[in-house]
Amino acid sequence: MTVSCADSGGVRRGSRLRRWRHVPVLSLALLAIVCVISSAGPLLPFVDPVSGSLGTALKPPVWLDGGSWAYVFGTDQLGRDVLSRLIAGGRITLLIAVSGVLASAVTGTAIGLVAGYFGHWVDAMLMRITDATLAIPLLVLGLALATSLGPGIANVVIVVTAVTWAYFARLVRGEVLHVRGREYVIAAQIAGIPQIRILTRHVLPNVLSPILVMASLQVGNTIILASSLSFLGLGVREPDAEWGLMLANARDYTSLMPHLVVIPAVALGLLVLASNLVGDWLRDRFDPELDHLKQ
Amino acid sequence: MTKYVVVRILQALCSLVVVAILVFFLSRLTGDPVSLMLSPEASALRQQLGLDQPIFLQLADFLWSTLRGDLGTSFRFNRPVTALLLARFPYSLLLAGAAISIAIAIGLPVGVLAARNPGGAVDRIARTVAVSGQSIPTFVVGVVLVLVFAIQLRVLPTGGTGSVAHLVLPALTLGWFSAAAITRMARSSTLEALGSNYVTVARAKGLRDRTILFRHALPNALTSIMSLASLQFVMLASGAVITEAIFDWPGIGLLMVQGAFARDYALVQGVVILAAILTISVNLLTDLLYMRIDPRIRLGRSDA
Repeated sequence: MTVSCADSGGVRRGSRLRRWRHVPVLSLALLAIVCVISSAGPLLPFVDPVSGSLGTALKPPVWLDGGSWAYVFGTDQLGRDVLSRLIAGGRITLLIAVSGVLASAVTGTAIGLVAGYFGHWVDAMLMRITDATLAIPLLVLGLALATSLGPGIANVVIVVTAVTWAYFARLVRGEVLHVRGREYVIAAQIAGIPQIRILTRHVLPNVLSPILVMASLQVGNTIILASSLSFLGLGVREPDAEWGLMLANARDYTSLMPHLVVIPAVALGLLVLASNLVGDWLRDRFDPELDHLKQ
Repeated sequence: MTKYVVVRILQALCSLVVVAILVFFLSRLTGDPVSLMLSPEASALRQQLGLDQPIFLQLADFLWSTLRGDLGTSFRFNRPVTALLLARFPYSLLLAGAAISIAIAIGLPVGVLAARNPGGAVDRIARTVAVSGQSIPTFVVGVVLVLVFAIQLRVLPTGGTGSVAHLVLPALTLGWFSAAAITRMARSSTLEALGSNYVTVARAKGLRDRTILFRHALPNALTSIMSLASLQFVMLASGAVITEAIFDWPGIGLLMVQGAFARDYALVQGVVILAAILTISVNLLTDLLYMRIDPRIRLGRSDA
């Protein structure tokens, strides 16, 4: 920022637009659109992801023969409108992603703070648990947990949190180790400020930036994890809509109605791509040196 | 340096024990397995399975038998878990091997070529491949591939084993994600190698670009690429759940899904422990190997 101020002699034409060059505008727009539509979804009268009858089953989308504007994307095997399920699924996916990442970040940060700040055996113990969690492949751990908990939206959020907290814990611990030796922390300790206060007031604000970057990068992972679980049948379950679940249902009809497969596939791919691009941009913007966050 | 090695090995063993403990409690989160199978009053079965003993005795028992290689019996398949794992594991290895080969075959050339002309056409393709590969979920890739090749074009089978053709689609699906990671790594480490001072010297000497690339830059870039590849390999071998589920590939991933559906705790535990053992040991080996072949790390350790 200081550089551009010093350089303000001779403002070039179009420099205002140039600042937007690196911003992933399309991705941000996509995410904004998904958020808006998802929030508005239940309020719109024509959106009905749940009811359907076999009489209206497997109708083609509007651009094929036999399609109609009543069912823009066609219907699935139970007669439910695909567009409605797409919107409802997006809502549930976003819900899981946001609450999952939030819970995961809070848990991981708390553990990382304690481990990094207090050190010694507390650190060793917490880090062994963190390493153990990271040693198990994401979906394997997720499935193991889902076996005990069973399907359901709340359970998916729990599973996602339990699987991804370790990334935050490891990151925060590393950052806390850097901050721990700084003068203001030592000064606070000498001044007799209680440890908890030091942690929340002095240490935490200074490690916040990498946490936010990691959180934005984890959104994509969380969406993939949640939809994979739903795809396998151990995540969001019927009659709720979820894109992974829609894809799983559509597999039986791939040859008959390929659009049932393609539509949730494209939706998932685009959403995760958009959130990854935004996450990359945030990382580059906040701290280009955070190379170790590249997964 | 030996001290570091010993410490790392102890850490790895510690992590394994912690994994076993975690897994043990994972299965008992929502009540014991018997009440799920029969009813909470089924005390005879409970006694037989040893589930009426205090929890710590059960844990000790579990750890001890795991150490001896006895992971219990799967009640879905009615076979010992260890035998099941050993029977299915080679399939996972085969799939992972094929996938990583595809990933390296795509990722390495694309990444290196991209680094050669940063900002050029290949570079843009490389970055697109990398980002999309890591963004598109595996099951999306798998289902779309099945749609295109198996159903529309009818050139490849939709699942199962038996011929090389059966291996193609699963390997592509699995390798897709790794290809992205390897492309990224190949590009960045080749860029780094090309920017180092020995390459500048080589250029000053007047060597041809190709010689510089293959004789000086690549060997140095390869170490980090290969270590990433080995880590990816173990990830693929132990965690290919979705791909194996889609293509009915009889590896440990499919075993995991079947166990999860049947609430077969012994089986699920077994797969998790196997996956953890694989990941931890390959991580350890890679770290130690890296230490051996890169003198900078070895020497740096002594004053760390």
